[in-house]
Amino acid sequence: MEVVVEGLSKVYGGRVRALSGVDLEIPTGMYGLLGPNGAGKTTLMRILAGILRPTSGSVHIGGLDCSTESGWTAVKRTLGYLPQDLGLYQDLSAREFLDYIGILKGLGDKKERRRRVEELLEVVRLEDVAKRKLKGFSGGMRRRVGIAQALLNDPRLLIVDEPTAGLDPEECIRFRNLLSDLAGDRTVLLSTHIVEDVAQTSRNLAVLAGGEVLFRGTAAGLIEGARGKVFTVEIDGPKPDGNLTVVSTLHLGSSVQYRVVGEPPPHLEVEEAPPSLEDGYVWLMRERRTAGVT
Amino acid sequence: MSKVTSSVLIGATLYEFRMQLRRKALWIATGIFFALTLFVSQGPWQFPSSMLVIQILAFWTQELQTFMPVAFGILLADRLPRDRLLRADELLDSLPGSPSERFLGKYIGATLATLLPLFLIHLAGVVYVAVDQASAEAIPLGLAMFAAASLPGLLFVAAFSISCPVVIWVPLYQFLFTGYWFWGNWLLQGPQSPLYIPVPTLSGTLLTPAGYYAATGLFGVPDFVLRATAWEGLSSIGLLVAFGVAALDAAHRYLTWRKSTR
Repeated sequence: MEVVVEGLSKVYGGRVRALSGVDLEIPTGMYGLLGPNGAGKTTLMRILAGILRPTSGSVHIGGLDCSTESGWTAVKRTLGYLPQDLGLYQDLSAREFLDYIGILKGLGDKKERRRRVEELLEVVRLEDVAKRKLKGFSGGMRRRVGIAQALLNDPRLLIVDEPTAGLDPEECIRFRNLLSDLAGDRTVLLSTHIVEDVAQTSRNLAVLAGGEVLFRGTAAGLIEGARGKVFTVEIDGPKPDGNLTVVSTLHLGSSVQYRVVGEPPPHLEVEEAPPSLEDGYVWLMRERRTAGVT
Repeated sequence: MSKVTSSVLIGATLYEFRMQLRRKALWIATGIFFALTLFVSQGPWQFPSSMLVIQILAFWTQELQTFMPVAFGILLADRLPRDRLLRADELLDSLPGSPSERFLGKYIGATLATLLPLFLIHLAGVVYVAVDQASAEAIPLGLAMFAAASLPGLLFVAAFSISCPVVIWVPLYQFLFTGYWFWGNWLLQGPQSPLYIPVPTLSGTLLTPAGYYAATGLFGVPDFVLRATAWEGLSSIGLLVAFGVAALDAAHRYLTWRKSTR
């Protein structure tokens, strides 16, 4: 299910511009949306989920025009959405909550709905606590309930906003694998500020900042942009200064190894390193800041 | 109504009913206001034995309408804003289920759950009257009295308590509603009261949720709070239900408009 976004803008209260002329073509498969906090990612997710209306521009999902009510209703039937900040009804158990959301998603057949709920409770490993009220759930467990509800209607388009927030490392890996598995024949839009989530799952991605698309293309393309700009430097003094962004610091006893992105001064002894997606992202953000300054 | 839509309405009703029924506040608040009712008025066991069964039932119904609707209104006021406070609204808005059906399901489910303890109290009184007066007909009469004299007023209160917090902060609504109820219906009910201030009130009009018109007009209760014809009784029921529906409709239209401008 292809998502086509053209000239999308969103202005809150006539003053705060959250999105500015966003153009995106999101093909079937996994698609990462990266960006710092306040980049406009959540606004874009909410527009794609039919919660917010754009100020201008258009959204077509699976060929359906989302500017019409009928278009949105049809899209919502095939949509799974996990909001960044998911609220749950505290007095319901996980099973009841999923059953209720299943009803609201139009899963009318009680037997089939219950089968699907049990199946998903197993997928997110909550079957043992399915009867427990949600108010007793930890952050990670609540997140897993959120993931299960997004999958209830076997969505063709899955929109997940910061899905690994609050999950422990093992859960993160399981969830990323789950998303990758799901992305086989459907569109999964993963919005996050955690570069690793995208690096491990998405071949295609876009980077959003200040409400504008800074980059759209493949992960390899973003990485390639930072080639020749990533270095390691081992020194025993303070952090290297100059026009560099330190992306990691490793204490080695008497010295410290820094991984830096940028253009090191000639006097600094550095060793070029192969760039990662994180380096590519950092380089892109540096470039944007530099462009903003000049 | 499509199959999907009707299942959304039924599902929302069932789950809203379940969630409201599980609230400790429902049982605590109902208990407190019932205790207050017994403190200032009489239970069915305290009425003179010379009274007719219909009179006892009418007074019992009326006494439960003295304070219990306050608890009823307070308990329902947070149902709509709760979705936003729990941050469940974002997910709900992304679902294909019709918002109108969800809204109606919330009203019906939460209202029925809030009604349940009150109905059980009413029923207990009616059963007591039936046994004490050895009158089997007290049971259907008491149920009919509840349906005609209590229910329309409670549905009216429920509709406004669900709807008004769309535009008013919940604690403020609860404060204003409680204040109005005591002010308009009980403390300052007539010029004979030393605290009397002429204020706009529904008390004494066909829109009074206390159900006097239906009790007198439809059941012919002698020597009751006021005299009314059957037509006035029916008009009172019709007006209470119609104004309740109008309040719900206005709230729903406002919510739809607000969503469309987000």
